[in-house]
Amino acid sequence: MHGTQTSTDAAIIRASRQDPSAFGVVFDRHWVRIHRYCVVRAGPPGEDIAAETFRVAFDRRLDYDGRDDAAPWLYGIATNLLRGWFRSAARGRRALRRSPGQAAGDDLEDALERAEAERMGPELAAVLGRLTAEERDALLLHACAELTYDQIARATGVPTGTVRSRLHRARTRVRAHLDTLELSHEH
Amino acid sequence: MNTDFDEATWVAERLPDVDHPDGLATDRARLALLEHISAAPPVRPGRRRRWGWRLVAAGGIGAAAVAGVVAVGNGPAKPARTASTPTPTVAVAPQTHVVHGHPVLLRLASDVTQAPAPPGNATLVVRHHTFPDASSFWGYDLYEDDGAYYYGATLDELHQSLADPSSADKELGGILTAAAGSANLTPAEAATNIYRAAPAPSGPPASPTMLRKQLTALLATKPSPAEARALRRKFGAAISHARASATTASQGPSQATVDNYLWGNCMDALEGGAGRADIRAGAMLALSTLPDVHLRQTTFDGHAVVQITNTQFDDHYAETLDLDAHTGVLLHMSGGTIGKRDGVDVTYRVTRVTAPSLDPAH
Repeated sequence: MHGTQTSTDAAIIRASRQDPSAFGVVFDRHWVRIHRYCVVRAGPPGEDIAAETFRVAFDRRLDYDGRDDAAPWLYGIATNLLRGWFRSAARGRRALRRSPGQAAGDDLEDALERAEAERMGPELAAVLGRLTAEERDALLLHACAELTYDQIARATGVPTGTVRSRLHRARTRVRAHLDTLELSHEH
Repeated sequence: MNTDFDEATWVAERLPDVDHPDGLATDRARLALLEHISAAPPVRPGRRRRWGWRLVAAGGIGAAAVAGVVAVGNGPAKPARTASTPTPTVAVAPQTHVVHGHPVLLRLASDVTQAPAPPGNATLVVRHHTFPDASSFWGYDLYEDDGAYYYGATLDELHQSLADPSSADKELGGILTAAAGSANLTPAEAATNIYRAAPAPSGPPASPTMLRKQLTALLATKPSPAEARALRRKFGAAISHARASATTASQGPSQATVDNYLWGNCMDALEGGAGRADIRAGAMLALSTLPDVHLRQTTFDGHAVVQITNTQFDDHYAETLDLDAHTGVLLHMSGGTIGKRDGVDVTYRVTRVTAPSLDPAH
């Protein structure tokens, strides 16, 4: 019998190319973290998104980059699925709202943040609403998933320098918003 | 605002609280992944059969083996006989088996058939099951040569069962007869005979949705971890099969299902026919046709044994049978997750007796 407890994610994903059932170990190792990230961002529907993350990951296992820890890769897949879900939610809401003859696609980006903002509550929503989707992803991967800059770069498929820039902008906007609040309270 | 302020920490502290996923959510997600994996095309041509078999087998034998563990907590109601309890799959005609012909098994089967007819008219199998939590139980099985089976949790209970012929179970008789009649056939013929003795059940498969609901309802009863694992394996395989049937518009069993049932029937034959050389030989011939079953010559409890390990189960489950290297008698069986302590461990003591007295036969 061969053990899998001490194998790296990379070794397990490699093994799953020949023995697909081995991929279950990846699920067991990362399910709780991915579940939390998805449910934090999307609420109860995040549970299905988290589950879908592993199915997508399984389908893409041949393209895995071979790093020991698969967490950033999984977070990246989850982040993309979350974006897709937010867009779908926005489209559905617009369709319900739209009167006959009204043009579609008018406020996609606004709705994208609104779906998540509703989940986050008014205080965080006010802050996150000032960020672009990329900045928001980077900030939440850092704050919620506790990924490093390099790991966020892996997750989002951009250079580490780009992550650094996005997080810097995100932090600046967060601070600016909070400074504004502080000032308004002082007056 | 002070200069040590960290915006990411500020955000993190205000994120919504999320509970750990409960068992049901985890089970649903794992099952969905299992279904997805089972429906995925193979990476390399020729692997589909091998690994489709793992999934189906996990539901049949793997689940049944763990179900045997479950049975301990619910009373010792013939746990060994659950070994081939079918998953809700369907069947048509058995299919031809590829003859791999493990030389060691073929040679042992040949040697065994040379043995003289055994004395007595029945085989007494005393089983001792132990589990990771150190719990254990004994089981007393009597297999009469005419195919009748009696069970007792103690020897006294077995005697009481024997006193009531209506308590006899003859379900296993077909498998034992088929195995005995296969001792001098080719491995492929033996495999076909033994499979046909207890094939996969026929009928339309249950819908995946219905199976999923059943699983959810069962998991909601908060079963033990072992029970939950068994349920997941069993239903995972059933759902995989139902989906595959829907995709192929076929209600017949896949080769994987056939192999799965053959494996289970052979295990039953090796246990129920432990005292009969012809049955053991037939079972070994049939086993030699199964792909992905690994053999090793080693020792168990001081006895030279042929160790047959089946690792082709989902969730890294594996089962191992130790057969006496000279007689093919089943001495030991273990099953569990690879890399972890065995989930079930059974030792067998086999003697030929004369029923109903159970006096040793010489």
